[in-house]
Amino acid sequence: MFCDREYRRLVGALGLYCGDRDLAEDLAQEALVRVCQHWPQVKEMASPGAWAHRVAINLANSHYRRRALHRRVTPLITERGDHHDADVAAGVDVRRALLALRPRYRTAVVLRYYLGHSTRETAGLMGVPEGTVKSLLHRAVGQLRDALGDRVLEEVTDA
Amino acid sequence: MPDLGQLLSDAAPAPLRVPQADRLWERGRRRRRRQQAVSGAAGLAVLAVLAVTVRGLLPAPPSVALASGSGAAPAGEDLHVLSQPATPQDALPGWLAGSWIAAELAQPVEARLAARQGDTAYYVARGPDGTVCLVQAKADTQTATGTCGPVERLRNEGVIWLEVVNDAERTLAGVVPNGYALATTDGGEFPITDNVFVFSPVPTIATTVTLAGANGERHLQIRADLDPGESEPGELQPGSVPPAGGFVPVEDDVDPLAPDQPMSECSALVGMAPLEAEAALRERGYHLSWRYEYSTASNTGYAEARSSPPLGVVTGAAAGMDGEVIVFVSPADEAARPMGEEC
Repeated sequence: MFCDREYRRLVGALGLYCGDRDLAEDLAQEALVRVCQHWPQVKEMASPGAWAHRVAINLANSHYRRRALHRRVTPLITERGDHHDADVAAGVDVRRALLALRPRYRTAVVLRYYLGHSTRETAGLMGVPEGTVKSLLHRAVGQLRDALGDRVLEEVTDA
Repeated sequence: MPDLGQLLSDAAPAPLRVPQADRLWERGRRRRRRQQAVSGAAGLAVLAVLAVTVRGLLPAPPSVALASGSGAAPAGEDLHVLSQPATPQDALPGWLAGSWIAAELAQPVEARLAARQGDTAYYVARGPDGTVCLVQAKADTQTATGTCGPVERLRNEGVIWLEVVNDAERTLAGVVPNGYALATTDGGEFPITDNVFVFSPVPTIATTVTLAGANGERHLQIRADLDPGESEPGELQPGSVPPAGGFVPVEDDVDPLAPDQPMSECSALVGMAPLEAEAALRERGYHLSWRYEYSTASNTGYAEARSSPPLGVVTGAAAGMDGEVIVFVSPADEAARPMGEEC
């Protein structure tokens, strides 16, 4: 059940983060294998899903570090528009704007606004102070606003 | 008007493949069993023998030359490294005086050399308002950076981190309280003898550091390595002065410059010189924190927190955690904006 539920969210998050659905699916599966591997510990955690999200983002970063292709691949993917099932213009624009963000900004946006973690949780997952997350999100949302033009974005506030 | 979460949900790719939960579980289970087998008593015994045998054949891990003492120093007292008499080697290099981190240190500067790794030295120094600072000084490039944090953070969180990332490597160092002699990660063991440990390069798979010593064990979360290829020399966190009475807090999670906010009259903040903005905001009772942002040679950006206004142009503001106003500043040539009206 956990795997079924989280797989879709992980693919979505990694797809937004990496800009590549195939890679996102591979990394999501690997993240879930890690979850299964450490399940005795993970199941005791307050939020096993959050742990999986952190692992997933770290896997994506490790992948890019190994390949050292991050900056070269991302623009190609952006141009190509890999997501045929959601190829509505709006989605493409949003993904393109997201991929134009620095990885650190993108991480904060995906964790906070796509996966729905609170600012505090996002800070915990990124391992940075909450104030830093606020700063990152402020700048990231500003850049997304600039990129997306008239589609004004509302920032989500913490409950 | 859609919110950002909805836009992202609409744009996120849906999986084409169906996860095979049984196979995932089986793969995870096999790895777990292998892991358990390796970590079993027999495995440990074999590894111990191998480690002793092979240690002499392998290149030594990055050596961190440390004096000794903080691991045995009583907890709760002043940091051991700072309580030692100063020696000539504790003097900060002359070239460091012009760096931004030097401006963050309490005057007169009270610093101690805590660790050295090749051409890079790590000093522990006192910051303003009782904070403790960790300064990294690279002699080969004559560059310095650092971080400061309140002593309370040492007690509560067990560490004040300093992370430095550049195109070539990532270094993670930390100041820890007295009573810890060893920092252990998946990547090895590192001695702590002057309240400082240094990981360079940072073990990529490690997520925690275990401190051990007379003070017992303490587990620290390593900050996630989430910015691959990004040339950010660290997320610097100077010690923020706790909000004291008498300042005007800004509301959390809102744009402090929005029209319906008390700071809206300060919308002309954007474009001001930081010193000018500081005067205007302090006059109105706001508590300030600064973020200096600029591009690096590879145009990847850089953000560092400072406790005093840097040179440049104000580009924005946000609400901080403790009611303070975070003011963003960019170098003047990167943010050529018209001067605003008086706030």
